Amino acid sequence: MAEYAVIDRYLSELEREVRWFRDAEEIIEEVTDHLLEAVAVHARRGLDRIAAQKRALTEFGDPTLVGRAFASTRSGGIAMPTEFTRRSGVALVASSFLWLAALGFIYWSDVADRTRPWEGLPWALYLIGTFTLMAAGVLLAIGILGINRRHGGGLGNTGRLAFWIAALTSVTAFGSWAWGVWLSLFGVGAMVLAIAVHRSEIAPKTAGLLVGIGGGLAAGAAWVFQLTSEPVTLGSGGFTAWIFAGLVIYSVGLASLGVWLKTEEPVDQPDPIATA
Amino acid sequence: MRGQALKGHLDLLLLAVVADGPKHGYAVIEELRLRSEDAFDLPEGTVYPALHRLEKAGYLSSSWSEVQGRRRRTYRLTKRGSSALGEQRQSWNEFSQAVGRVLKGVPWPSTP
Repeated sequence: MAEYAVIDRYLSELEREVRWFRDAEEIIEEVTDHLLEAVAVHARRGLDRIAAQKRALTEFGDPTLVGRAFASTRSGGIAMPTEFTRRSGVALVASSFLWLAALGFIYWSDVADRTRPWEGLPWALYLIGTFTLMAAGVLLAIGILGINRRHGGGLGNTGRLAFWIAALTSVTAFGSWAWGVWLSLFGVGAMVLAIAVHRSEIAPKTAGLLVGIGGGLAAGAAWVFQLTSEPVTLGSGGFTAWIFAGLVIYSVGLASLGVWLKTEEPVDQPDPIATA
Repeated sequence: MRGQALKGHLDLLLLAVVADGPKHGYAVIEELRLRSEDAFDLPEGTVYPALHRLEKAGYLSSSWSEVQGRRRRTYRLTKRGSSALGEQRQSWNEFSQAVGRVLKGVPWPSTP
């Protein structure tokens, strides 16, 4: 639609705003129909093609505002990026790195533990790993809170469950040697978060999916090896590679969610129509 | 009238406009503009989410057709929407009459 280049640009922007809705394609088709009809009406009234397109778009409204109004019909909440939600995006990005780092520290401490007494470096690594793990859980919980608040509680009960599981994971991580416990909680929490994101349609679904798959893989690998092998530590089994693989997938998803959340411009004024 | 003043009334207005017969989004907005004599200053794009919300609530139904080579969505009032419109209309009439009665009254002591 080269002759409608101005409209096309607008539609691309709106598409970005609504891309994770189930009916995104229908929304774009409906808006396209509206805009082309509006352009035809303005053209009949004497405006040239470019002016008619610009007029139609001015009347239609800012794509971000319109996208948020569409989002509000899904959860009943208004998408409202704030300074808090931006910071919670940073928390999610940090959390994604910390999960990997924590597992690395604990793995390293376990490997070191077999070659020398439980003192010095292994002990320090173990403590660093434990606290890194707890910090990752806390930051994850803050991030989930941010996604939820951005949309007036849009993640719903499933999102609230994901938040509490993240908080509980952080607490249980204090006993990081019981890796089966926190890793199970971690995996269940990741899958619950993925379901919340998918159902609510208020955040990038692909990122949510990666979080769910990665978390599930990490927890699943841990349990498979737990049930089929002798009691092992994180540093003693080949399964650690599977857990790391799961965590990498999880972290990519979580970091994507965080980047999305942190790069949104805070909005101070609510959209009055979305609440009407 | 600013969008904020429409808060809570947009659903009633949209149901009333669609009650006259099936309409697509652009026609709904045009009708709203005509009947209100351009009194409502609201971005047109925000009307669509409201239409979707009303459909989700069961007050409207929609169907797709092909017009001038592009797909068009047309909204119709459902039975449920019709009865909701009746109730909201009555409630609005009572409310506006009550406000009118209050505004007609002169407060004492009267202020200049």
